[in-house]
Amino acid sequence: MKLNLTTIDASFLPALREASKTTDEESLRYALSCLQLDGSAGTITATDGKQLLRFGGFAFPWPDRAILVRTNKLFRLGDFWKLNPVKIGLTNDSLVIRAERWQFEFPIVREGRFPNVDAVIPKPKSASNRIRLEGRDRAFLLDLLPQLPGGNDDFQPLTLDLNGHVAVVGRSRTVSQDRAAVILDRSVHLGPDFNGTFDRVFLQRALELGAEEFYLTPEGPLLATADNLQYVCMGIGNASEAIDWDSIQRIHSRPTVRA
Amino acid sequence: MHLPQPELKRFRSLANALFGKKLLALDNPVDFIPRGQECFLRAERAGCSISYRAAVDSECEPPFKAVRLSAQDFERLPQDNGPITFGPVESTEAGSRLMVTWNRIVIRHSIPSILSHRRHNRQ
Repeated sequence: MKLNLTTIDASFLPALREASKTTDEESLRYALSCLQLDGSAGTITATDGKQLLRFGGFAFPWPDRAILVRTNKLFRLGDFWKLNPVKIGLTNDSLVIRAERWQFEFPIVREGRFPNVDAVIPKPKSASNRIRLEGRDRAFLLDLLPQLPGGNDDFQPLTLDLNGHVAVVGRSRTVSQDRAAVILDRSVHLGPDFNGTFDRVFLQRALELGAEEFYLTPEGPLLATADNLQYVCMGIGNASEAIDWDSIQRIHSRPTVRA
Repeated sequence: MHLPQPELKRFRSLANALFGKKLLALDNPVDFIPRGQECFLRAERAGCSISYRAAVDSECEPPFKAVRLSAQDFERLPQDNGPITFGPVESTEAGSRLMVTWNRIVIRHSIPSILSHRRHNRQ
C-alpha cells in the first residue's frame, strides 16, 4: 500500500510535545497514556485526569476518525519537536511522521478507551467569570509565580481574587505573615465577584502555554484558552479564609497604579 | 560508499528516546539500507520505528541490499568522526562480509548467505 503523507502545520510537533506532558501512564480505567488525534475535529487532546490539554486547527489526513498513540519520550526531545517541515500519514497500524531526513512510526493503539473529553471541557458561554489576560501581565505573573508565598504548602495554592481587580494571592499556611498578591492592572475581569484557589503548577502551565482568556465558574474547572488551545484544570476550592488586604504585600504589574 | 556526517549521535539519541531505553541495553540492531545515492539507517521495536535518510557520495559497490549491525557493532561506530565507508563486500567460504570502516578501524560484518539458508531448509 502506497503511503500518502500530508504536510502538517509547524505547530504539530510542539503540540505533541506539550500533550505528551499531560498523560498518565499508570491509568487503568482510561487510555490516559495516549494522545488522541481526532481527524474530524482537527485536534490533539491529552489528559492525566487532573488537567486536560487540547490543541486545534490541524488538517489531519484521516478526516473521519480519531486515533490514539501512546505518549513517547521522543516527543519531548528538542532534536525531535524542533524538526520542520513535517509530513504525516497513516498506515494500517501506524502513525507516520516524516520530518527533514527522519521518519518515525508510532503504533496506533486500538485497545483502551479515551475519556469523553468534550463533556469535560467547560463551554465559555456558560462560565460566570472571564479574565482577559494582557500579554505583559502574563509575563509579569509568570516571572513572580514561583516566588509567591505558599509554594511549600500542599498543592502550592494560589487564590484568584476577582473583586474589582484581577489579583493572584499567595498565602503561606505555615508562616502567618507571609502573604503577597500580584495585581494584574492591565487585565480585565468580566462577571460577578469571584474567588477560587488553584494549584500554582496548573496556573503556571496555563501561562506558559500562552493562555489569554480564563473562564471560571464556582465549583467548576478552569478553562484557559488561546488561539487553537484549550487547557482545563480543577480548582482546589474557595479561599479558606477571607483575604485581609491590609496585611498583604501588593505587587502591581503597572507600577504607577497604586490602590 | 561513504556516509558523510552520518548523524549517528543524533540517531542514537532519538532511537533511545523512542524505545525508552538505550539501543545497546535493548540489544536492538540497526539496519543500513543503501538506495542509490542515499542510505537509510533504520531501527524498529514494538511497532515503533526510526529511519534516517543519509546522503552518500556514491552508490554501494559491489551493491548489497541491506546489512543489519548488532547493537554492539553500531555502538562501535563513531559518533562524530565520520565519514564511514560501507563496502566492499568480501566473499568468503562462510558467506559474505561487509567492510565497515572509519579511520583505521574495520568491522567485518557477516552477511548471512541466502544459499546457506536454502541449504539449511533442505536439511
